[in-house]
Parts: sequence; structure tokens; C-alpha cells
Amino acid sequence: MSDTAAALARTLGTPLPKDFAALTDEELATLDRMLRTAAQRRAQELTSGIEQSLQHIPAVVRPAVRKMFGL
Amino acid sequence: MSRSVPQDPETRAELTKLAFLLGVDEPELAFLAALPAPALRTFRDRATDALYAQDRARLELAAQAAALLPVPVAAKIAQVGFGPMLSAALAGLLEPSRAVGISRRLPIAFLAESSIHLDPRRAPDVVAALPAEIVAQVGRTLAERGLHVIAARFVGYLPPASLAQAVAALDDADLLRTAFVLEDKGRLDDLVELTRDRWAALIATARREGVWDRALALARGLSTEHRRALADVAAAGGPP
Repeated sequence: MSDTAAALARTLGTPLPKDFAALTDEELATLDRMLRTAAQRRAQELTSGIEQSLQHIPAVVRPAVRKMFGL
Repeated sequence: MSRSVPQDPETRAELTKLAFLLGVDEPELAFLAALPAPALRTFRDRATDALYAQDRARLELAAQAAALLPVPVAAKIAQVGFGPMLSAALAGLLEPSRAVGISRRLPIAFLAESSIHLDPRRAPDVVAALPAEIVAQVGRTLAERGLHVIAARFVGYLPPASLAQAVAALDDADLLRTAFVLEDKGRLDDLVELTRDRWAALIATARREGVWDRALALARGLSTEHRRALADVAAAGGPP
């Protein structure tokens, strides 16, 4: 397995399907970058989603929710 | 690998779903077009698992927080705070009855957008518990947006009543397009049985839309009884 394939497998957290051996290193690197970008975008959306949500939570439960998130 | 539009409809459907998961335009995945659909599905499932795993702790906290809120407030937050993607991620972490209660208060367009991001493997009880009329409306909305590939992912998770109502909500062309990309081919016979009174129209539509060969290929996966009965209806309609 090439270093690029190993990097994508690490990002994936599991081995690549065997048919992916047909991809070039450049293609594997592109896929790895796409998956990392998707993961970053998702984490950012979760952070902003939690922050925005807190503004709409009733005051009575807001402290409890803030505490849950360590805020 | 060659960069081209995949000829195999199953591969095309997988690339559409992978593009949604990765948040990229489908043509950007053209370099995967020569890979077989099962390999792409395995990769998509593993990538979905990886994305869920990285956020698991915070999502579980968010689900616990949502459990503290009245359903109307949780529904409002789903729309103005979390948005469709995160709401989909949360769906499987909520009590199904609570998730359904929240869904009842959300616009169909929002639910349809969420369904694009929802991994039905992670929320099978929620999908199964959704009221049939909501399932049907979401299915129709997805079809109107040309997202038959997304609608087809859920068919294997729907109880008979929901499937029946969803099928009734789709016109013949949309039903064929959904059946062509069904993930759980084991439900094909159920679909055929539910559409018994529409067979002649479905066959005529397949011929008119130039997808007769695909319909024939699909029919090979049916029970002998359904294949024979459909063949009789097709023969009665004249040669293709």
C-alpha cells in the first residue's frame, strides 16, 4: 500500500475497499483532502450550531445546557 | 483512472450520494467513475462512520440537551441553530418518539433537506416511526428535486404503510427512477405488489422514457410470480 493510500485509510479509520487500489496516488490524495475538508466543515457547523442554539434555549435551562457543553 | 461519466447507473447513484456526503460537486468525483458500485458504497459507509465518530461526543451532548427542551423549542432550534445536516446527525441519538415529535413540527422542505444527510443505518427506528404522510411528502419533495437516489436509500427502512403512501405519492416516472437506484433490492417485490394497478402505466412509461432495458434488468430481480405477471401485462400492451 502506498503512503497516500495509507493516509486515506487513516482518515477513514478503516482499510480502503480493495478496488480502490486502482486509483492513482493523486486521486487518493484528492479523496483524502475531500474527506478531511468534509470533516472540518462538519465540526465547524457543529460548533456554530451549538452556539446559535444556545441563543434560543429558554433561560431556565440555559445554565444546565451550557454546563453540559463545558461553556 | 479515466475521468468520465459512469455508464453503470449503480455507480452513478453512488457518486451522487458520495458527493452529497463530501459536500462536493459530482463532477469532482469523476475520477471514481470506473470503480464498481459496491466498492463505492463500502467507502461511503466507512466515510459516513468516520464523520459521525469524530463528532460523536458533542452530538451526544447535543442530544441530551435536546431532551431537556420542550418539543416546539427543539424543533425551532433544529431549524435556526443546527440546520439540516446536524439535525440529521442528531436524529439517531434521540428517542424515536421525540425525534418524530420534532419532525412533525418541521417544514417538509427542511425534512427533505435533512434526509439528504441522514444515514438511515443510524436512525432506523426514527425512519420506521415517521408518520406515513410525512414520509410520502418528503419522498415527493425529493422526487421533485430530482433526488430519487436519496429517496431510494430509505425504502428498505420503511414499514409497509409508509412505503404504500410514499409509492402512491410518486408518479410513474418518479417511481421508476427511484426503483432503478434502490439500495435494498429486497423491497422490489414489495414495490411491484403495491403498484399492481399501475403496471400497465409503468410499463408504458418505461417505454416512453427510453428506459425499457433498465426496467427489464430490474425485473430479473423479481419473484417468478411477479416476472410472469408483468410479462403478461407487457405483452398485452404490444411490442416495445
